[in-house]
Amino acid sequence: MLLSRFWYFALATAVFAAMTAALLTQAAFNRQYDSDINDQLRRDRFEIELMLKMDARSRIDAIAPIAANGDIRSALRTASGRENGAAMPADVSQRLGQRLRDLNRQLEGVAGEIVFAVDKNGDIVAQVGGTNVPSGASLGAFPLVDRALSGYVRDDVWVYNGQAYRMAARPVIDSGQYVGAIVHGKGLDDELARRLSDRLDGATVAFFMRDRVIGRHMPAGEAARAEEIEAPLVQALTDERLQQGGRTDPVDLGGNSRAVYSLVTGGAAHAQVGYAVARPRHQLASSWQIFDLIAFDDVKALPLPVLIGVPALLFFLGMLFVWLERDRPYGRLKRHAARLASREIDRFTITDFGGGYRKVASSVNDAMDKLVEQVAATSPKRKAANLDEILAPAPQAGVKPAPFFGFAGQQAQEADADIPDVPPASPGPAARGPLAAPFGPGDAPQPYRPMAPPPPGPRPPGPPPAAPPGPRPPMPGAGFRAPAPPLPMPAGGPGASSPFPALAPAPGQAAGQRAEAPSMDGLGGSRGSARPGWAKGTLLGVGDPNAIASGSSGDGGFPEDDEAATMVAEVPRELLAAAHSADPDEGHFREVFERFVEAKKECGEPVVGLTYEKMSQTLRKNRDQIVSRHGARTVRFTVYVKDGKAALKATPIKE
Amino acid sequence: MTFRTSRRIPRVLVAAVGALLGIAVGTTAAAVPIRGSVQLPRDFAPPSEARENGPAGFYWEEWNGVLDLRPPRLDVEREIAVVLTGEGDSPGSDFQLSGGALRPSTMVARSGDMLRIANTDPCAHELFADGIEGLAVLQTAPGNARTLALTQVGHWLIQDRLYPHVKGYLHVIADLVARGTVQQDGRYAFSDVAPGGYTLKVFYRDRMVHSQRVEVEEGRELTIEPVALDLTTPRQ
Repeated sequence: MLLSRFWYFALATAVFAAMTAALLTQAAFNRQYDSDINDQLRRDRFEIELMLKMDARSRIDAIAPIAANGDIRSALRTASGRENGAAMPADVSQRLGQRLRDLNRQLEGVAGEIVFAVDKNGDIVAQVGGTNVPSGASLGAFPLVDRALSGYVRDDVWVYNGQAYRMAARPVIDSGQYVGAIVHGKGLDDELARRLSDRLDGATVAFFMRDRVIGRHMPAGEAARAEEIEAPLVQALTDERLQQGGRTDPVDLGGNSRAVYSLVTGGAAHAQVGYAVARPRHQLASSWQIFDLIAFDDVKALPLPVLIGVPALLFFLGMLFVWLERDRPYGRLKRHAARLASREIDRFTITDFGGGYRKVASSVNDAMDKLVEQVAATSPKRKAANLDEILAPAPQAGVKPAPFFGFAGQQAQEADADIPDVPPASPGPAARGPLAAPFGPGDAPQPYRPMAPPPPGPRPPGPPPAAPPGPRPPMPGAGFRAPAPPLPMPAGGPGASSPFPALAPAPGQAAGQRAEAPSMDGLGGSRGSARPGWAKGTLLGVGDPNAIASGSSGDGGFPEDDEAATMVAEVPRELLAAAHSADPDEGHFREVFERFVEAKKECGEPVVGLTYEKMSQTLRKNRDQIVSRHGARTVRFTVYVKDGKAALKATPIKE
Repeated sequence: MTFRTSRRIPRVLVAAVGALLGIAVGTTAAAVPIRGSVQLPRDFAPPSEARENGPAGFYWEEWNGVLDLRPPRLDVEREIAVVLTGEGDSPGSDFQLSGGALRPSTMVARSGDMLRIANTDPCAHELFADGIEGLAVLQTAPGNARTLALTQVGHWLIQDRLYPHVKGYLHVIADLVARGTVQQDGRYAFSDVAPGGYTLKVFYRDRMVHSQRVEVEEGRELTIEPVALDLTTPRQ
């Protein structure tokens, strides 16, 4: 899961980076916007200073015709020539006032709101606008007038009777002498603020005197109001830089605008007359608001192929990582689990999985093992599968082994012997009794026949033997399916080419008489009426021939004790020939092992630890023991079910 | 009988009037004028009116282009104060706002007097002085006057909140007896100074630049030698 985890980490990192970028973008935007607006305000103030300077120059130049007017000059010459202390001639004042008014009117847009004509001492001779002038009033001590009377053209800003004026003055020269000066004044008002604001494109301009605004203009749209500009005035006027002729730093106005304050250039700065320029301040309240500022052109300029392609590629790459590290191993686990459920496999092979799935497989295996152990612990104690016990121990030394034949009575008693009792040969028909049941594995214990019984083969040419009976029904409690049919009979009957040679007819048995039922122990062949000398015993041995004759077996001749049901029949010659291999019984051992394992599974027994090698070794050992003790040529083992458990039975073969 | 009574009243009345006239004539006859002059340095230029700190006073100040500029000159009448101190009555402490500034701008007053500054300008002023109780910022409209009781001796600067060029240097002394009239050329004159010994003091703005002892003799006009002023001397 390394790739997937790395991918998730990369994805989380990308989200973190995106969120951080959004927040930082907001902060950076606001900071950059503030920086831009501060720069803009500084430029605005610089432009206002330039405009006011040019305005002053224009007014100075505008009053030049007035100062050069002949009537003005002669009147002022007359006024300046009077004796010290003498009153101003009234007619001179009157004529001069009228002329002054006319000339001022001609200035049109630059016409002064107050205009004075003063003599060489600064005494007011005539005035336009303003309040009534007391007799003998003078302006000579004002620096503007004093410098004008000295020959300078100059500007200033006055506070005159409560109002602020932009002043300009020029000397009046007549006959080579300074005879007076013209002093011109225009108000610091809304009109000037409007002209300045129009030039600044979106800025609010306001004039103030101390703590009140005396003129303003706010452009349409978002703009700072006069009240907002007025609010910080008191604080702004204490600014040291402002007092020294500079400007304040940008001041926030209610959070929506910013302004800088500056005093005017002129004497009125002493009276704290100045101006403010303000601009709206846009701030992003959240990162989402940046989308409100996006224009359609911005969207068109986006590299859409990159914006779509890169995320798509990253998406598919992530899906590939997920499939590689999760879906594929998970699918593998599912398939193996299905196979485990269907018993195609016994356990998970943990090397087929990787990472956590390997641990899951190992845990499942451990769980199954523990379950088995738990079942084994809670179920009745059963000895470990010991083939030696299953196959019955060899007869002990000094103990007369059970007769090879005729073990009916003994077989029942020696059921736990090491070497299983060899069931006696089936008696002749006469000795058998009319109800003698055919020998074979049809008697209990039932041999394990997983397959359906084959149809009986054709009868031999000789006395046709009876077809071997079908398998007996299983014993109660066996719990297994119908036993498998016996080995298929040779085509020519029991005596035909079957590997198990047919038994010779019993002596006295005429051909055609019903032969004894052949052995059903898997050896094929049929019982012959003439038995070899060693094969004497009770076929379907079961028990005492007398009991069979008396019919006391209870089931029509089938012994109740199925352990004595084996009948030794004549060993087919083919079988003997097959024994010429290095271990001629290898194939038989293999077959027995497979059937035994199958029987155990059918019975629900565990097969853990049961291997062919071990079982064949045991079979081989028991075979050798039986062969040595009984002089048999070989041993044949059969699988049957006893008490619901798979078991084996050994049958020595003499010939 | 009636005629004798009417004759006594006129005699008493005449005697009283005669006595009064005698006192007046006698007093008038003792006062003499004092004249003199102060001499300024030849190349003395008054300090520039530009503010040391603060915004500039103008955008443009250029020569008119026609006539030569007039050299800057000291307004002697306004800024030089010549006074006599000694024993005698106070001459009063009336001053003006005229021509846009205090006249005189160097004011010498006597403690115990009522200072009165009349505004004869066509515009309002807002005079104030730090350190004097009763002289806080107050607007004085054209035609009105600002008054203040001078209770202590000292030196103060009177300013105008509207105009930076308006400055008055108030010197309150205890023994002011006469204030001279100064002309632009530096000549000054005291009228009707009673005989006796006085100290002639010359003030320029915020400092006294000259002081000398003078003796006024009865019936003789006193002319004081011209006084060369050193206006660069720091304030004492």
